[in-house]
Amino acid sequence: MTGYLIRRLLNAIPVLLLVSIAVFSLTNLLSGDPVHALLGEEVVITPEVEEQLREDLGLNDPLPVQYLTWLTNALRGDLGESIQTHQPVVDALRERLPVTLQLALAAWLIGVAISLPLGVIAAVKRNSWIDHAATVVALSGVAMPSFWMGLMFILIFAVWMNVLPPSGFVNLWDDPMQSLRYLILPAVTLGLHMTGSLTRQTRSSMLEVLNQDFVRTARSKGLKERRIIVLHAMRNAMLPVLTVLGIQAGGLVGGTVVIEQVFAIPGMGRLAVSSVFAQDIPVIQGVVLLAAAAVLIANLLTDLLYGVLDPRIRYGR
Amino acid sequence: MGKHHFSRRRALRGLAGGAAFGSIAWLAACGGGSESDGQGAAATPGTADTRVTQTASEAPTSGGTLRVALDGDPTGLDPSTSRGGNDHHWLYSIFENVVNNDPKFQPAAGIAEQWEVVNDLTIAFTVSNGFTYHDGTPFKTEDIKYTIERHQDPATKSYAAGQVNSIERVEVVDPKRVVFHLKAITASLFAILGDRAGMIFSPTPVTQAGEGFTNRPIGSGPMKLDSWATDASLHMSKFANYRKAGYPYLDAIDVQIVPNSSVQFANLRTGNTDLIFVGQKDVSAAKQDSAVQFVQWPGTGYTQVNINISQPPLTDMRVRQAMSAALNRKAILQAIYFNEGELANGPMTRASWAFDESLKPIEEDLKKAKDLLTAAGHPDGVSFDFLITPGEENTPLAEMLKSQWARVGINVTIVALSAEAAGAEYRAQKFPMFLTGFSGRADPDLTIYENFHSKGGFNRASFNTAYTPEPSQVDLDAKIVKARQTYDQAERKTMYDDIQRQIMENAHGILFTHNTNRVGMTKQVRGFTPYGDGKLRLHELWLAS
Repeated sequence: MTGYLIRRLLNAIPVLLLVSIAVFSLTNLLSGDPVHALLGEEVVITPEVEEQLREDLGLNDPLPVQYLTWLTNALRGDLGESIQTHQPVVDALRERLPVTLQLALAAWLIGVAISLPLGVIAAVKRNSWIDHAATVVALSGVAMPSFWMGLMFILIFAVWMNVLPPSGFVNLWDDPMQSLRYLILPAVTLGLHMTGSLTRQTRSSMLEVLNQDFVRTARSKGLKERRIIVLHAMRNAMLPVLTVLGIQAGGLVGGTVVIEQVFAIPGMGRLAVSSVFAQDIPVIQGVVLLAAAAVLIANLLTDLLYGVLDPRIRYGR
Repeated sequence: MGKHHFSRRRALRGLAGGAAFGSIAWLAACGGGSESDGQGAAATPGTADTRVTQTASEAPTSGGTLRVALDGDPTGLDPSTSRGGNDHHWLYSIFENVVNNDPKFQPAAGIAEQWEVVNDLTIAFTVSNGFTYHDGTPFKTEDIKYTIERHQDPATKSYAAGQVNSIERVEVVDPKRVVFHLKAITASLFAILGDRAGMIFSPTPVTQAGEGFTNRPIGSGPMKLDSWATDASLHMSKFANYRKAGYPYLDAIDVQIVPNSSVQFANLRTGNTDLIFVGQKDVSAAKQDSAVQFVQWPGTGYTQVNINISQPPLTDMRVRQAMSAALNRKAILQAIYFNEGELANGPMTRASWAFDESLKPIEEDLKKAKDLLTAAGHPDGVSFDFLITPGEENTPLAEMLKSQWARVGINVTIVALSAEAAGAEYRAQKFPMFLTGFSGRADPDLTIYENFHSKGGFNRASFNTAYTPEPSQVDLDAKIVKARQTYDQAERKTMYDDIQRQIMENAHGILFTHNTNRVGMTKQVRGFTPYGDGKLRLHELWLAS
């Protein structure tokens, strides 16, 4: 198991390296210029100041040199400094990551709490009105753009009902109750977005398992239906569901980009948007690397959980 | 020169008497179509809906935290190295200027209580002292000299360097007097000193903080910065040792960064924030909401197609004039701007003393447009690219312009690029025109020279090394330079009337509308003064108990 873990972690290194090269190349391929992005269209400066800025930012070096400089520093734990704010990228990521993790985790839990029961009920009550209703709920979550859904929730729960704040963020460890009040709307918006595929996957997986012999045997033994579904069928139906959950956990990092913008949450998503618009290459590099690492970790955890759910799956050889 | 300068001096001294301190409430309710009694901005057709709750007899009360929602962080809070137009919402509360720009862009007292134009190249200021900065460092008159020299020092990389390059040196005469010696007459000097370049700081905290000064600014203004979390919030609190006792009224100002304007409005309606800029699409709801004070006033900015007159076919004035005459600006105002704002009659808006009431916006005249095209040698029409940055306003506007131009045979191909890419491509002379507005400046010279003089920093023809100005541009350049060489505002006004007429008639830019600023506040906010520059002076506000 330990050997497997080490191998997986070592495999992650070339992936991250490739991601960093791709991001660096793509960002530089964008037309535009970080210095002009920094200045905006309404700042008049002398050519000398512009040249000095370019020199200070290392933009006069050839691209491979710029990349190697970045990589050498990154290996020492220094991801550089934001062109826009001069804040060290590591500090920016350290500030933003916990915010996004809180949102993503809450959204993931909400998504799971809605999708799994909905999928199971839809499978058990196949072709009933409950099944159809579950399908409508699940697909609505996917069909509605999350920014629109977010705005609708703000209108309903903040403006009309005045029961939740429209936007903002409070850290869980600063004030847990306030934190939950602020997290509910963005987390539900993001969570609902993942219910579509998860509910459908749970339903089809459950349907397949419920038709298998061991379920029939359990029923013939006189076991209670609830026990059969929860203990026998669900556990066996979970493997494909887990795969989807793992993919979605990684995808949640991307989903936060829109949600953080709508709900004014100062997380990685906001950082990503502002750095891309400003062509703030060091920050873009840092954000994308961290997002890639999050996807890799989510996949690794998913693989490890396979073994927990199905003892026949073992790693180490 | 004595007599002439005496009148200038007297005029400027008179202006100095009107201190900007202690913002006077804008009694917008009295407004209609006329100017208020010197306490607010001039009214526009739209201000009839302005609604504030303060009455003239209400005395300010101290205490409370003002909650504000704005759409973005400042680019920095060092007056030298910050560069965003929105930075002033904070800078004006944290720093104090040598002189202030009052709501109508007239100079008003700042750290300098009085000033005198000794001669064209010498301006003397009498300053208050005996106060400290937020960190306890005492103010010294030398700090004014230091501030200007820091902007001028290339090592600072100050974005305000260009604004102060006409200052030859600053002489500290004694602890109460400082004299600015100029290389050339600088008519916009007072406007410049009322902006970023005139925000005074001390070398002590600047040296201590180094580059970090932009995140931990120390000024002598009424509010001090306590914390700043990027993309989240900025917190300012009352500077207890502020030089004017009993001021400011607020204990603190908490600015939340909320990017979406609809979400900002939701925060205002639910009482989660006290003040926002109201987005165009929320104007109607803001006007109708009885829980919201709504204020709208003329801004300095305008919407336009920016023309690069060094790029064919726009080098030919007749083609530009045809483009201008082919537009139905009223339809644009209605469809794109929901009738908010007014048609542009020149680059100077109602917010400025240089606004020309008599100048009429260019009228739609399709026959004239076709005739001009024919005269320019394009009887079958003309085709070229039209650069835009896509957006909820820009995209439909570009389509509307395209279809209006097509009526006379001007066929444009819309090319949409990101803001950064578009700016770079336009600067690199790859497109003849670009759909981008301008936010305006306090002094007409800062708007007109930079945009319409052939060497202006925002005039993209100035980046074209092969460009030779046509005779009409040479004539315009001479007029623009002349208008910056006198301090006499009445004289300048006459010159700018002529310059604006020429800019519009010769289509150096194709302007559509003058911008409007719009603020929404909860009922308890008091003391709001709309400044022509659209920047908030948050420290002037107070909360009714």
